[in-house]
Amino acid sequence: MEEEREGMPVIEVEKLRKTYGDHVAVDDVSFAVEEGEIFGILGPNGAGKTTIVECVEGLRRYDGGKVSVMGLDPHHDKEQLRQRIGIQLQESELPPRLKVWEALQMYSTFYRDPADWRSLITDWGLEKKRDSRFGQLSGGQKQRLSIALALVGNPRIAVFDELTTALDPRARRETWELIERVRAQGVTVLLVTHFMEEAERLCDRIAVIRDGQLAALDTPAGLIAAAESEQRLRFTPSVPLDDSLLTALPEVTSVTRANARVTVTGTENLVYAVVSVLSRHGIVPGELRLEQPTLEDAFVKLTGTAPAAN
Amino acid sequence: MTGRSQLTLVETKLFLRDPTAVFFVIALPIMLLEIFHIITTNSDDTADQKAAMAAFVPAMAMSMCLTMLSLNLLPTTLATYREKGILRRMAASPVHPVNLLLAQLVINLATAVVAALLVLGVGRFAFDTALPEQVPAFLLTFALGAWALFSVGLVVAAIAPGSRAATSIGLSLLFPSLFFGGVFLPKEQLPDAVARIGDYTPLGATLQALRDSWEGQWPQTLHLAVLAAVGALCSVLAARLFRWQ
Repeated sequence: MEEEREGMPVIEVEKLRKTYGDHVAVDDVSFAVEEGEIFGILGPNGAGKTTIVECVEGLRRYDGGKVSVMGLDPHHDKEQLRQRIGIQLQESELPPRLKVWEALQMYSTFYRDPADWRSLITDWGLEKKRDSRFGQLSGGQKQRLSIALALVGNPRIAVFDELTTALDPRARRETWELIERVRAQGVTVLLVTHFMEEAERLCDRIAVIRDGQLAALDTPAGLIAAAESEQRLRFTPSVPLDDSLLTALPEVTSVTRANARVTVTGTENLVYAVVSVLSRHGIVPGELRLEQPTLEDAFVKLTGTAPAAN
Repeated sequence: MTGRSQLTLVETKLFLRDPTAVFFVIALPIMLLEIFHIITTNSDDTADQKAAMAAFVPAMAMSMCLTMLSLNLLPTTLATYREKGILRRMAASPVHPVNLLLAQLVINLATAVVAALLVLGVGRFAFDTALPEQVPAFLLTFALGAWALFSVGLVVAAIAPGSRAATSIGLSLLFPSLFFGGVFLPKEQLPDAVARIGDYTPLGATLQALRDSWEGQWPQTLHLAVLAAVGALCSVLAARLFRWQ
C-alpha cells in the first residue's frame, strides 16, 4: 500500500496562500519535502513559518494553492493524515496533574498502529519521571515528553515547531541529537526554527521564509555560497589607528569599530592588503581573525533581519 | 480500550486528583445539610415550618452543587484546557477535542448525580430531611435542570477568552443566581419582584421545581419550560461559539 520510494516527495506544497483579513500571512510558497529528509523552515519571528506548517498539518485552512501530504489532502483526509503524522506544537501543554506514563499510554490508544509507549519512555530518558505529573517536569523534560508524544503514533512524518526555543544551550544540543535519532529511524522531519545553528546542524535542506514568501530554498552550504557574503577581518591594533588608512585601500568596503576592536570587510585580497598597510605603519594586528561567510550572513542577506541571539 | 474511553478514564482520574472536586461532591452538600440541621433544630419554628425546611434544604443543596459544578468548575476547566493548548494538542491527534469536552461533561454530570444521591441518603439518615414525593417529576426536573445549567456553563467556557475570565464570568452569574433563585432565602421570603425574576433563571426554576416535587406536587409548567428553553438555546449557542484554540 505504501508507494513512496526513497527520494519521493512526501510533502508537496504548491503556491500556498493564507490571508487573515487584509494581512497576507503566506503568499505563493512552494516546496517539496523528500522522504527521510530533515527539512528546515527558517525565518524571523512572524514570517509565517508556523502558518505554513499548520496548513501542512491540517490544523489551519488555507485560501489558495495545494498541499499534499503522503498523497493526502490535509483537510479532506484529516483522519487518515492524523494517524500518520506526529505533531509537536509550539506552546501546548498537558493537564498539570497528568502523569508522564498516563499521557503516553492515553495518546497511544488514539492510534491504530501505535509505537510501544513503554519503550518511548526509555528511549527519551523519562524512566525516572515516569510517575511524575506534567506540572512537575522541567522545561527539557516537557520537551522530551512532547517529542515522545509526537512519535507515539508511529508517524511517517514528524513536525517540530520551535522545539528548542525555551531550552538552555545544553538541553538544545541534546535535543538536536534526539532529532537526528528520529530521522535515523526513517521518519521524515519538518523542522520550524529561527536558530541558524540549529538549521545548519540538522537540516538537509532549508526553506528561508521572509514576509510570508519563500526567499530561498537550498542546502545550508548552497545558501551560504549563494549569498556571496564578503570576507571579514577582525583585529585589535597595537597602537591607535586612523580609519582612513584602511578605507583608502581599494579592497576595503567598510571599517567599523567596537571598543578597541576593528572590523574590516572587503573583497578577495583583503587580508594581504590590510596586513601590508598595517606593517608599513608599524602596527601589529593583535588577535587577527578572518571570518568566512556563515548561514547567518546568508540569512541576514536573504531576510534583511538579524537572526535571534543564540 | 478505545481512545475515547481511555480519555474519559484518564480525565476521571485527573478530576479526582483535584481536591476542589471532592469538596463539591462530598463536603459542600453535607455541610449545607449540617448547617441547616443545626439552625432548624434549635429554632422555635412550628412543625409546619420545620416540614417546609426539611423539603427545602435537600433541594437547595442539590441545586447548589449543580450550579457550582456547571458555572464554576466546568467552564474554568475547559477554558484552562483551551488556554494551555491542551485542546489544540488533542486536535493534532486522531481524537478530536470534542471528545475531551464530552468526557468533562460526563464526569461533571456523574459528580452531580453522586452529590444528589449523597444529599438524599445522608439527608434522610443523618439529618431527617424528606425524600421527594413525586419521583418522576423529581427525575425530570433534575435532568432538565442539569441540562440547562451545564449548557450555560458551556456557553461561559465558549466565550471566555481565558481561565481567569471563565472563573469571573461563572462567579458573576453564580451570585445573582443564588440571590434571585431563592438559595440564600427561600422564594416565599423574597420580595415579589425578585422572586418573579428568579422564576426565569435556570437555578431558580430548578430549585422551585425540585421543591415542588419534594412536596408531592407536579412542578409548574413555567419552570420546566424555562429549563428546556435555556437548555436548548445555550446548547446551540455553545456549539456555535466554542473555539478549540
